[in-house]
Amino acid sequence: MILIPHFTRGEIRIAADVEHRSRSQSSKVATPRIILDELVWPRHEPVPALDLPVLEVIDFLAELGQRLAFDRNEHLQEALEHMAQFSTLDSRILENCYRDIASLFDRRAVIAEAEQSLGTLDVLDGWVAKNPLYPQCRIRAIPPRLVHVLAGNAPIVPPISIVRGAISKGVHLLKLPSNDMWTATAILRTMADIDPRHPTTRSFAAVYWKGGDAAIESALYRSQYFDKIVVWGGEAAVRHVLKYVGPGLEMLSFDPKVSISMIGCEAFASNAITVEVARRAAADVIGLNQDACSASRFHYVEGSVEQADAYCEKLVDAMGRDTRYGPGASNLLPPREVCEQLDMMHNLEPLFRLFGRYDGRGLVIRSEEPVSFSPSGKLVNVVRVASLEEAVHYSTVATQTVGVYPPARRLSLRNALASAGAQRIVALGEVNSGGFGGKPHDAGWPVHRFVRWVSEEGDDSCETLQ
Amino acid sequence: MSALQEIFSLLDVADPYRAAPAGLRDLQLEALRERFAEKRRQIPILARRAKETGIEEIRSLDDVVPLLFTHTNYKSYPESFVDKGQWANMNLWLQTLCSPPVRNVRLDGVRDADDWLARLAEAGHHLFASSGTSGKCSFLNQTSKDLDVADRAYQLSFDAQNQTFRAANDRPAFVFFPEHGVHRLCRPNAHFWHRIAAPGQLHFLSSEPLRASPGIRAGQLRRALAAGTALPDTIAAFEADNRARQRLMSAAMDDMIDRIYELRHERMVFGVMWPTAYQLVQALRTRGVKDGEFHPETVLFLGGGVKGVQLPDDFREQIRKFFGVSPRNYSNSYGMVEMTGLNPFIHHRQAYAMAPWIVPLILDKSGEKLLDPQATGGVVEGRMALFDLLTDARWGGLISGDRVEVDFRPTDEFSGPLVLSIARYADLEEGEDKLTCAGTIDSYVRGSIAA
Repeated sequence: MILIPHFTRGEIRIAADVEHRSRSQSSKVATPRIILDELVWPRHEPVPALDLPVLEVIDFLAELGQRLAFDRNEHLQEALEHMAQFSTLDSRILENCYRDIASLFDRRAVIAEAEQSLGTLDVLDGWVAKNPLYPQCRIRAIPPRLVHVLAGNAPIVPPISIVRGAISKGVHLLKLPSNDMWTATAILRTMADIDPRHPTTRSFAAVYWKGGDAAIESALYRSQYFDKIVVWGGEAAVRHVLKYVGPGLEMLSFDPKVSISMIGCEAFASNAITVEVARRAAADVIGLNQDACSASRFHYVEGSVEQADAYCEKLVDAMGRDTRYGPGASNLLPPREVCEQLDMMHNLEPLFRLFGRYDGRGLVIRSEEPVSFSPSGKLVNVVRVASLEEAVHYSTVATQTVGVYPPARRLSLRNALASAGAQRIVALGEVNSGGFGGKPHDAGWPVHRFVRWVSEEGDDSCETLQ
Repeated sequence: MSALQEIFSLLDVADPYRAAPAGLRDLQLEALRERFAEKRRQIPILARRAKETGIEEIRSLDDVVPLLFTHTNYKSYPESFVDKGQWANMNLWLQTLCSPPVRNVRLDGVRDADDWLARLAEAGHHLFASSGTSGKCSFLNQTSKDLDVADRAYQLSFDAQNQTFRAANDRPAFVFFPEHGVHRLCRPNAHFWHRIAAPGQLHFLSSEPLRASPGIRAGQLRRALAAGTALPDTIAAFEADNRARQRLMSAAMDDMIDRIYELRHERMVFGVMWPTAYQLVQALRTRGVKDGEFHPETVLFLGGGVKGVQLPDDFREQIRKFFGVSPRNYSNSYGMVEMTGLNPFIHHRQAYAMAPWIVPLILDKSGEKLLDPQATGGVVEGRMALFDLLTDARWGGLISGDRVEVDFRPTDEFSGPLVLSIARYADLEEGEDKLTCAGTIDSYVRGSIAA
């Protein structure tokens, strides 16, 4: 039996009150009993960090970042050990992700995240007049009360939720997913090691309950307790939350997404270039087991059948090699129904062509139009197109990241891609190396969307009627 | 006589569910060996699977597991083939999954999937189709002989569901199903009901043939919407068509219910799926019918799943109480279109008897490992997979989405195993919260055209 710690406002609780069984875990897990009253911050009391200057929050996060250095942090080390039973990611990749966590709390990253989102840090600490049309109107970013329904496929989700949450100075209930019951609490426990009574520490809770449990969600998801519910992907999670959305309670969804790559004809200038392009493309595919919204699933290739096939061969080869975030050798395979479709397509050669084997090293199906299933399990659909401009038509409202080769062609594609629905356009191979801090996410500014924008209006005559 | 011939000979007895020979499991294994030796030479996908998994012969039932197909295999065709009317490519696709050579099919002037099916039938390929919620149809080939075999197998299954009732063209019959169409059950159903109903007293819900194209059209529109090319007027027109069709359907349903109301004191026969039966009960109640008003010799043939339908927990009890006829007059069965015939519900065992030509293979939840019933005292719970020994046009091995509990302990009455309970894994997994941010465009499509 594995005991999952709960974190409530600086306090750690470990107890085997409630047993859980889920397909994500190989063994049984138990959590402390949920005490609903501990998970809300009553509205008639100001939130703990309201009067804390944001620079102190940033100092605190920077210190937290120092303490999150993996080699010296026993909470992260313990979390990594347990995660083998929860996550599908290899421990090498998980460890690399955990080693990245400290940098997310870097002072410059945190300041960039806050300033780019809000325009200025001042609105976090007080009432700011800056509208030339209404000089006598002051605004403030009021700390929100948020529930975060976390996703467990990418270990970056808990730390960036904590950074953004801390910047907002609001209070945050983190609902842990069954495939990552450890990362968020490891960070929050480190926070409590620095100062369990710090206002930021007291602004967080992280607990597990089975997603969709109406007894808990119906009690908590009310406008009297929370302003917004932040949902990370997963259609089921979004639908659960929608049941509770109403006046006073909003949903802020980081929607489930698909990512793609675009390979221009320049990739075929020489064999060596094709090899390098395939290497970069593979890194964007296999990162986090191709299980994240940023993982590329469709590659639109501008070239002849022969060129596309040469690219496919090199791509399979590259997918078989380890990258920082992706496994070369693995036991990842597409779902059985997809394998059957691949077998069928294999038999329809030359209309389709299948590259690779069912050995966990990677597969590519080449076609003239995108396949109707969603490629996963180290599978890429290479679609031959006459031009990358034509491939823009395959970009939709579900498209997240687009990796482009050669990088210069981003410039001529970005308007069309963005208007079709894409959110992030990067050089091929850079999907997982973009860094954190000060960039939009899901076509919006998360911290800006977290806070409540309140105005206070009137001249400063302070007139009192006699 | 080969093992396969021996299995086929069971179609000649009156009740094969009770007449299968002792040692049935060994006979099935031998017949399965014969099927594999034959089909791997005829079905390209099977040949590839056998080669990749290194399975040269079937030594035990474990060897069949990696060779099982999922039902989705039969709708694995690229949608663009249909969207662009590439029927020659559809024939190529069909050939990868079936044994008879797909040749000499006239394709000139084919406008839609129903035309394509008609031309295939002319060339001896009697496909049946089923439209899933995905808007993509499954197409499963049958030879002319498969058709005759299936007619007989379904006949035997219907008979085995009710030991005392026999068809005699002597009473009104109400069938809540279309009389003709692409669904596998249309043909054996029609044969059965035409032998039951008195002249002029056979009522099908619809005489419009059930077609494959409307479901496909919905899928095409859904893809166009997902791709961002469909415009709102088109969607609105489609949804209006849907509503109009639903209105026609409920008018036909009302008409049936009026006739049933008039005849409720006479003995009748119903063929109706569980969810529709509940609808029928409610409609008759609003017409003032009380529990137990029906003729005690009225017979109901029930069946089908309750997937995606909201029903009260006790809907079965409510239906039984309402009609109030003898328990043996409620027939029920477990089946799926991919398998030939049905597995009748046996009242005194409270279980479904498996047909002797169906080899049940109970696997672990992931569908990778065959479970040994002996290891758990003869009763085993797991994922239903099966091999249909009667099917000749296709490979009979299939893995399902059902979680079943099956009793393999021999009884005096039945030589085949008994299925004690059935649930769908998809329903059981609702609410799992293993969250990831990866998604597909399907999450972004709403309304009656959503998958």
